[in-house]
Amino acid sequence: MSNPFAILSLIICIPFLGMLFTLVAKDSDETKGNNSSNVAIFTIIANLVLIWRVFMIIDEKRLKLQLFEKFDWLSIPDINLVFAVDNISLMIILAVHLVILMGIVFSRSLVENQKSLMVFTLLFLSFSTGFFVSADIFSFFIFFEAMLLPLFMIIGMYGGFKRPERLSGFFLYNFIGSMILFVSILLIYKYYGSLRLDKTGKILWNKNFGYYIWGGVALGLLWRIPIWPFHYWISSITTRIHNPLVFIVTSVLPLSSIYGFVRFWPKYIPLEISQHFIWLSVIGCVTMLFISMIGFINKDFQYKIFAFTTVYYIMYLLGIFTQNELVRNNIGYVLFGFLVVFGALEVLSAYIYNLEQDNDTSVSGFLCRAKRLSIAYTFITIAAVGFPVSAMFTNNFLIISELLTANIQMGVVLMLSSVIASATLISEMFKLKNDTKECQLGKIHDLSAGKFVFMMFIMFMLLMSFIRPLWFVISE
Amino acid sequence: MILQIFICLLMMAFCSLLITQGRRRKIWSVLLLFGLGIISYFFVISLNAQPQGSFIYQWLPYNILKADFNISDAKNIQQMLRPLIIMLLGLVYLNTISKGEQHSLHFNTLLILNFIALILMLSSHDFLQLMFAGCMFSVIGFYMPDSIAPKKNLFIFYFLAETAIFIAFAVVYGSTRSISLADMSLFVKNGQHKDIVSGLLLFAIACKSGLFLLNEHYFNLKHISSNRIVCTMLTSVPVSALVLLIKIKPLLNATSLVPDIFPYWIGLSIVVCLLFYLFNNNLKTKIISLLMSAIAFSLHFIYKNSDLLYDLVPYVLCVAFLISLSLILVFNSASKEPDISYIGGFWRITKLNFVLNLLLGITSLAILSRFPLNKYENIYVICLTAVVFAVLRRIFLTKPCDNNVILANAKSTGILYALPLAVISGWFLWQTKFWNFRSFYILFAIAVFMLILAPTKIIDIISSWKIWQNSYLTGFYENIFIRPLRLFGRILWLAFDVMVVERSIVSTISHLSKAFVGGMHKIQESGKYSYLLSIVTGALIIIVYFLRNIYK
Repeated sequence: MSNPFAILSLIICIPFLGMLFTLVAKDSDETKGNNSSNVAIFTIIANLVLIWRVFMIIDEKRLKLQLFEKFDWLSIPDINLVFAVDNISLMIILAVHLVILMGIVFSRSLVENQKSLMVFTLLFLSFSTGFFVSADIFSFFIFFEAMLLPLFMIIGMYGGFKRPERLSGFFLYNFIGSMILFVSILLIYKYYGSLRLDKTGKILWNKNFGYYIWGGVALGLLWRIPIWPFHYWISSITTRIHNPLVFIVTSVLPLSSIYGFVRFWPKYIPLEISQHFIWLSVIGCVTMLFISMIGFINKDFQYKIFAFTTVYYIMYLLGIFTQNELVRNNIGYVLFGFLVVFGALEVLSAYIYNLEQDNDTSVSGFLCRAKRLSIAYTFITIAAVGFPVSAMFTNNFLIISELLTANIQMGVVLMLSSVIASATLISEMFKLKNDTKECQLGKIHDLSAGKFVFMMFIMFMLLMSFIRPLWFVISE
Repeated sequence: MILQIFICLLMMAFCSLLITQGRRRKIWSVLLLFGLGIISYFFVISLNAQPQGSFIYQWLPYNILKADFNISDAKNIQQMLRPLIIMLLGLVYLNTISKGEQHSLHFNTLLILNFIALILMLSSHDFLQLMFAGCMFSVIGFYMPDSIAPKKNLFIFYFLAETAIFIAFAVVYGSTRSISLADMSLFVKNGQHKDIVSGLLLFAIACKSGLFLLNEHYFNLKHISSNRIVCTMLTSVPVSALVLLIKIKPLLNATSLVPDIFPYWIGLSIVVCLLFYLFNNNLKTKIISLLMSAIAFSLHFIYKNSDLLYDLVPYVLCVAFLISLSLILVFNSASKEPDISYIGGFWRITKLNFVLNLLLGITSLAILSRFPLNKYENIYVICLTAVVFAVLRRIFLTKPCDNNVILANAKSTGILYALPLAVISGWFLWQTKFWNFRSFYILFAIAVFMLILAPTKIIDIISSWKIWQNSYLTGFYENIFIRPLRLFGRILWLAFDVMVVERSIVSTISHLSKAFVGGMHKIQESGKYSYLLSIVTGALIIIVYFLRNIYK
């Protein structure tokens, strides 16, 4: 289906326009930076309405890319910007918008100069939306790299790093991965032209440097996923960030790789390659076990949440590698539930632990006094550990079922890691509910009415995603 | 009929949740009790009404996952729910009149939600509804204790049980591509990893029902109030374990592992629970042990596929409820002193309580005597009778205790407890027509014998042994699983992640990069000798290359 109204370009441009408005928004000591965050919030809400409209236009039963838009750019070489969507990309775009909205709402009072944070966040949102609607190899690569620029600015300015060389290392690390992917994209262009992403299955293995192409793509995408041996740089950056919005934005990076694997998937895989997938599974499972156990003993809540996200990202990656159509077609729904749950968990945890630091007091038992926060935190923790209150439950059931069928030993180790990661979150929740009378925080530190209503909306979205996926689509 | 009850209960629960923070909660509690009473009445009198069929709502209509939402009106489900709704009414009444229960409206709402989850679980035709209802029990069960330590223990065991069920069903779905419970036979015939599925489901049922070695979380409930203990054991996750077994029994028997272990495990659990009931001096632990033995006994009937399953199991739970009530009466009248070593000779002080306790005991015997039981089941009933009446003798008929505070404050049960108990006992006695059953007279004789001649001195000596303090399990799982896990995590983090990865590999790479870049920088820094050196080196390399090519 073609798209005469260029609605996909609009959903990329709106955050960009919002960024420009944020740049000119005036802030003073009175407003305390709230004007720029208000503009950002309004921009994201406007884009959410548009995304809802896109859901109504597409045929959600069709599993192919729809609403094609093509913008001619260069004739020699033949490079154009091509956009299209399907259920998978739309669900992920929706989730990214929601989690960034959550991050903005909860980080409003945490930084002094919010304007630049909002500007780069909206820029990141624009580029990441462009990435998820890309429909050909060049658009894919351009936005894949463009996302990094605002990300580095955000991490550098608001990550709270005392050692800037760590950030330069992270930059170099991503640069090497990008180069590997770029070489593969160039090879694809040389032999197949500007290939659309729904036609990548045409790339042959035994001709035209096929092995190098697929190897380069896989390596370039794996580079951003915290799987051994690539886990070090991502964990060294992510675990040191304490601003919830910055943490959320950084955690979208592995998501781009997982999405990349969904798009770049060959029609068939030669036996000499597929028989080695077992090593990826072994490495993935060992990484999951490793990270989940470190998260279990580490006292820093940020590491615990990082461990939780890593376990699930690797699980979904291994799910894609089972070469099962069911898992690949389902990945959008599960990533939606996972992202929203992770985002909510991060913002609520950061809220509590920032109170701990600001007031120099223990937070044990704080949830006994803060009713609204208790309701939200308990619900999100219950959703995160896999209980049936969100889309994660049914969709994880399908994915885990495939993983267990493919390899039972791997599946058991995977579930063990997931149990340890969940037990980590449960023990954190009980620590916050265990009133040892040391906590000096009271009812006044509870969530404000506005934030609570917002969290109720998020909980409602999660619950409805479980009861009826795509309930908000009113088909024409 | 069940759909109407489901909807009514759902609306009541929803309204109660809205009101729980308001004023005059006690009045609303009474109204809730009244509403539940009306629903129970209409449900019970519709005994002979024709089933109306199932209500089915297509929940997930996708080819990959077809799941329906079912509420079934089958006769066996009605048969099971009738006594349980009466028991629920009794529990709600108990909470409403209990002065110690500060949040009776909120807590009664949780009991109603549990009953709703029970209806969902009994009506389920597929894994998803079964898992959803099971998780609903676990989440509600999380809110039932009002103290953090038992809450934490309970939730962790429930979470492990739900995860085990999740994995088992995922394996079954992977083999059969169906989530319908009717297709379980396909898995039993052709499925892979049957031993894993059976093992996981067995573990889940054992955790939820509190079988031997997996009951620490229930024994920890002794730190909460007695009415909450009874409500948790009789309406929450342990009951869901019974329904789970009803639904997934073919999967349990898919391998020979479970038939070899399960009946003995149940038997051992029953024996241990009865021993704890007899020898542990804490009244709350006695209540917990009794209820766990009743749950285990019910598991036995379900597993052996008794024809009377839907009739017998709810009445076993009702018997456990009545006996627990008798202990709660003692607890309340002894000024909430839980240790019976400080209680004795109570029949003089609280004659009404003594009579009520005897009445409840005889009612329990009357209920149990109407079912045809085999040899081992009869042994359980005889042992249960013996220990119940031995404990009654210990509390009421031994010499009075020395504790003046208890003696001074002990009082008989109020009319609010006594009258309904008397009415319920009378109704059960009339319904069972116990006088027609020979087994009743045998049990009655045993009861009288124990009441008069039970060796309470020997019981007191054995009760003083440390084993009955249940401390052997406390910290068992902490030491076997949690501490090694933490230690291993610490080793992985400090020894491997920090020392090997960060300080060795990454540090080496970064130093090498730094040395290389430093070297390159020196070449480029335009110092004349280093510049000359680099020119000469480059020229030499080119000359050697050409010379090699010429002379090849």
